[in-house]
Amino acid sequence: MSEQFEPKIVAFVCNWCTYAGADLAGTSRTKYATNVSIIRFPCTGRIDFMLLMKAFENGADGIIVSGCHPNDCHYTSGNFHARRRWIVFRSLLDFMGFDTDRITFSWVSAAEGAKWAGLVDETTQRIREKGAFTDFKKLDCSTFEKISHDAITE
Amino acid sequence: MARIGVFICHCGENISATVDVAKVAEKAGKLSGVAYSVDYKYMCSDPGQTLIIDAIKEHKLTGIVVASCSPRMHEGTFRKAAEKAGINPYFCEMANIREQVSWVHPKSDATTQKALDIVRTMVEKVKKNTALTPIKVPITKTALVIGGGIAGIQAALDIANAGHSVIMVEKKPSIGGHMSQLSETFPTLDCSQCILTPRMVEVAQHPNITLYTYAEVEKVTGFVGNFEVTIRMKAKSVDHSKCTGCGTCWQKCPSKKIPDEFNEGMGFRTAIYSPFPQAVPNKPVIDRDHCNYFQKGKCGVCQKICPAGAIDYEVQDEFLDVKVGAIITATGFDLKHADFFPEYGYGQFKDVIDGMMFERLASASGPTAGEIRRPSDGKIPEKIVFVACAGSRDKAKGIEYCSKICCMYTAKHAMLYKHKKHDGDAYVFYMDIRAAGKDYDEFVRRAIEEDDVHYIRGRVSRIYEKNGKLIVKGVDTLMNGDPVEIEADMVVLATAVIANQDAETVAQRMHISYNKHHFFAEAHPKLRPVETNTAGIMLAGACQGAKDIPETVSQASASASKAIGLFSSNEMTREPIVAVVNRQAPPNFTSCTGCMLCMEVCPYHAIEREEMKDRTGNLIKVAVKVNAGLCQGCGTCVAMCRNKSIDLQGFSNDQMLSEVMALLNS
Amino acid sequence: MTPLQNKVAELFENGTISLMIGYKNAINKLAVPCFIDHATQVEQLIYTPECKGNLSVYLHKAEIKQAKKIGILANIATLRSLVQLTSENQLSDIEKTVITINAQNEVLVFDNMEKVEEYVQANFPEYTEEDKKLLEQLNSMTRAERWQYWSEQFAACVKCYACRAVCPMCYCSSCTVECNQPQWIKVSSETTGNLEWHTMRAMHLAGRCINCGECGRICPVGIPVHLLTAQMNLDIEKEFGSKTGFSCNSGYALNTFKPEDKEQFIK
Ligand SMILES: Cc1cc2nc3c(=O)[nH]c(=O)nc-3n(C[C@H](O)[C@H](O)[C@H](O)COP(=O)(O)OP(=O)(O)OC[C@H]3O[C@@H](n4cnc5c(N)ncnc54)[C@H](O)[C@@H]3O)c2cc1C
Ligand code: SF4
Ligand code: SF4
Ligand code: SF4
Ligand code: SF4
Repeated sequence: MSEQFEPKIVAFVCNWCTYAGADLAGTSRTKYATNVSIIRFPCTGRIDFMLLMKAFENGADGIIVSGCHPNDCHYTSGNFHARRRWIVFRSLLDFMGFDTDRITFSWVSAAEGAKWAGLVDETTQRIREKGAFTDFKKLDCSTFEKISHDAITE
Repeated sequence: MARIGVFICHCGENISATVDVAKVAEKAGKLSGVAYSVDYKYMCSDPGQTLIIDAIKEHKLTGIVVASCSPRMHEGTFRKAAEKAGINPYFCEMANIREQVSWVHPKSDATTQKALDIVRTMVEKVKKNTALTPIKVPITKTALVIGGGIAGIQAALDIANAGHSVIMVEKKPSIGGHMSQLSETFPTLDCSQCILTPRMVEVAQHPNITLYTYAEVEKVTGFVGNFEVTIRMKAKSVDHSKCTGCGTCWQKCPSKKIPDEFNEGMGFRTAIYSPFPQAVPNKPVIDRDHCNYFQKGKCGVCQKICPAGAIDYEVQDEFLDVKVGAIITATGFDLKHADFFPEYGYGQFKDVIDGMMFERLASASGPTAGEIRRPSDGKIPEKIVFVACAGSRDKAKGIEYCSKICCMYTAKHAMLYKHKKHDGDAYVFYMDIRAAGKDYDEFVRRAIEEDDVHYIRGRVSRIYEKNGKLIVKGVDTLMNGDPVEIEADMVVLATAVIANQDAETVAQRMHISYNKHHFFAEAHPKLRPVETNTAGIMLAGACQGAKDIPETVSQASASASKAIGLFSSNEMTREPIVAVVNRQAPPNFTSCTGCMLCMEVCPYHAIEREEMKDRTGNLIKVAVKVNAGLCQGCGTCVAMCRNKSIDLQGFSNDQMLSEVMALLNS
Repeated sequence: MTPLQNKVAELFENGTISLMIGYKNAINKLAVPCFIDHATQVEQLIYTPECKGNLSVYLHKAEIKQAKKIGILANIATLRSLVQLTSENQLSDIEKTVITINAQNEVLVFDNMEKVEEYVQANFPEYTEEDKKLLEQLNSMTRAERWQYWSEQFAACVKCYACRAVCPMCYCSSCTVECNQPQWIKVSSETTGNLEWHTMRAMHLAGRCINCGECGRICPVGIPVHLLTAQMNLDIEKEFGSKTGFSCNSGYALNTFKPEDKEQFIK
């Protein structure tokens, strides 16, 4: 039997809600998959889309981005700005043909330890099914012949 | 070269039961830049901290990573330990291997590996850390109180009595606010003026309070502890330092037919006036819009007769700059007025009045000397209908909230009427009775049971006039929605409490938030109900939402205590987790292009325009800078800036990217 | 002399401008930018359908800024960039006179941005038929096909940054690709690095790009980079209702928000 694929998932979370929610999952001893590691930001507003790109480039198979629910931002509006940013970023990735299902966007409050655990398990399972993220790796090994864009206008 | 120390905690068994701590310590020791690593039973204990301090000294460590519980728990503890050992406390980071590893995963290699991954991530972060110094902000121990209603009065007195200076700015010629217009107050029916006037006088006489009436706040800049405020002193046309308040002028002023605001238009005042007999200060101002001298260019009666020579037609508005450390916003509320209720005939029928007019009719100092008489013909009404929720809780009218005070003052009004006219009939149309305060329900019950006020649960659909009577049509929902029709002599609408007209402007001047109805927003609806999201600016009273007097006064004292707390030390220390805009040598000065797009995202208005000039003063570049006193360190601006000109100390681009790389590259 | 040349000569003579940025003929029948500083040179000036280049990009150049009074010949895309740049506080130090030629072939002179804004709003351009078609085709592909398409496109990028150089909105004095602490974008032109560069570029220009199409036209290897921002602007307009280069103080879709902004993907 071949071993089950264990994806590497990076979570970008805000300090006040999701990080605290993940701590709560801990104090409540809720068990979840080991695949996700957290990087703590002060606010979702601080999360630069470039960091997500860098994570994929450095071998992440999936990403979770999570912060306070709308209206709950510790800084009142960081998450609202983040939400607009993710709407645009996600549609850009989609337009470029990137598999946006590898990114889970979520709001997890400081009280939602169980939601956090569930989110980790659900994301891990989804990425496991998708398999390792190789789109980026493939890019640099294969030599593409650039087709002129007439090719698509046919 | 970095010399990092890694300290792995067992947390008793909390961590070591599922994470192989010895292995993590061993592997961490081999990471590049790590000079020392060790595991220990309780890092946060005294011996644990001593171990860290000794190791820093002995191994000349430049930074440490403590792998233990959540930083939300012990970051402060370990930073202090680092500081004791002589390194900058911001060279200490924590790897959370308890809440986010050992407590949520079973004992396994994967769990140990995850702990190691997190340790490695934090080691890479700490290598990029920089020494930070807590920001010290001096505090000006003077408070500004905006608004001289009961909220502002209470807050000002509390702060002044604690020994600090207070500047109070009131828009109108006198302080007192709405409370000074009330007749008697629920739930005790004590006379409003009797309890308020002494406080007003206390404000005027308090050595720590400087009162500016007929004045408004024009501009607020700066930040907590260090606000700079410009006050506009509207031209009073009367020199209050000379005026003795003798009243000769307003007795002689020929412009006498000006509707009296204090009596809600039921009476007249002169152009030079003091709004009411107990006004503080009880010295007049000239209402230039109605003064013959200003409108027609001739008159000058007051100047001629003033025995003190206090009248000055030439004075202009003056501006005063003051420095304050805290601001208490207590600008109160307004009531919905005419034309909002065409279906109730308000503004059309003279005897359909609002609650505040009723207060004036019932007040001993009012236009009828406390006798309740109809405005139209001065007759004492035999039957009054009171309509609660006039406009409130009415989505169709755009006011979905509850005005909170109307249930109570309507019961009070009905009672006052019955006490004055024993054989009169009082009807109250209501939606629900909300009397959830101490002694409040008892008060309403007394109106119903002892004073025989008729309560009808239902809405009034229409009011019209017929044969000198007001016909009130409504339904009684407790009687199967049966239509009710009452012939009344007077109708009192408990109109909705709304924000002041200028509330939005005031909020924008102070950079505080407000809700869609323009009531000012508290920093947190539950846990920080008296602060705003701008540090150092507090809220008191009805400007934050409809409130009765006890609640207003409690909030005023609470906000005063916030100011007093702030003033308890000479300076304030803030975490240096703030944004900074990079600086380069001239002629670039900074890579910031001055697009100013980041200004808009900052929730605290901490980003300011900065002009770079050469030695001769020529403008070379426009860029931005961060006001560290205002910045709260959210970092939203950092992710917004395209060319990375602005960065967040403690969560810098370099640090965050290093974390991502380290986590993924073992 | 053409009406345009007459008008510009007049502006020189009455002292309204001291430098004119316009187009002149090039050997291959294309139009290239030209800079003239005297009325005697106005005969070079042309305005033909070939004049597609976005001349506003020169307004960022220090040498140009030195001229105190600048005249600029602006097609509709250039007018939009002037509006957008004004909203980004980039033109406040320049005294400029904007000249355009409308559909009736009349020469119009604007001495302030309000007038430019008014003209832009009345003549707001649509995407070209070709771009509309390309976008439609890309959107009808499967995700995997799109990935394949863009991978192939990006593989050819040589990171010459010509697309950045012609972009009036890429006025950063130090672009993030040049930032090495930390190094966000790999220096060499491997495809992942190229992909990052283009993702970054598109994100930086989403909601700011004024759809002049210069980047796509200039690319030496023929990558239609302009389609990325063209698509983003469509999405932004749909999601948040904001248009780029439309108003001098309309704000930027990504530095504002509405609490009621909608999305379907945040769990
Ligand atoms: C008809 C009626 C009956 C009531 N009866 C009772 C009762 O019986 N018992 C009870 O507990 N409560 C009663 N209330 C509620 C009570 O009036 C309020 O709780 C109280 O007045 C709120 O005080 P405040 O200081 O917040 O606001 P306000 O009384 O409105 O005072 C605000 C002050 O700020 C000033 N101001 C406004 N804007 C500015 C500005 N921009 N710059 C400077 N100054 C400004 C105003 O001129 C005013 O002096 C009643 C209310 C109404 C309408
Ligand atoms: S810091 Fe960045 S976003 Fe802010 S004004 Fe400067 S360049 Fe623009
Ligand atoms: S970090 Fe947040 S609070 Fe500080 S300047 Fe930037 S946006 Fe404003
Ligand atoms: S897309 Fe074209 S123009 Fe832009 S950097 Fe790549 S090769 Fe150069
Ligand atoms: S790509 Fe981004 S950082 Fe670079 S010049 Fe353009 S807008 Fe500035």
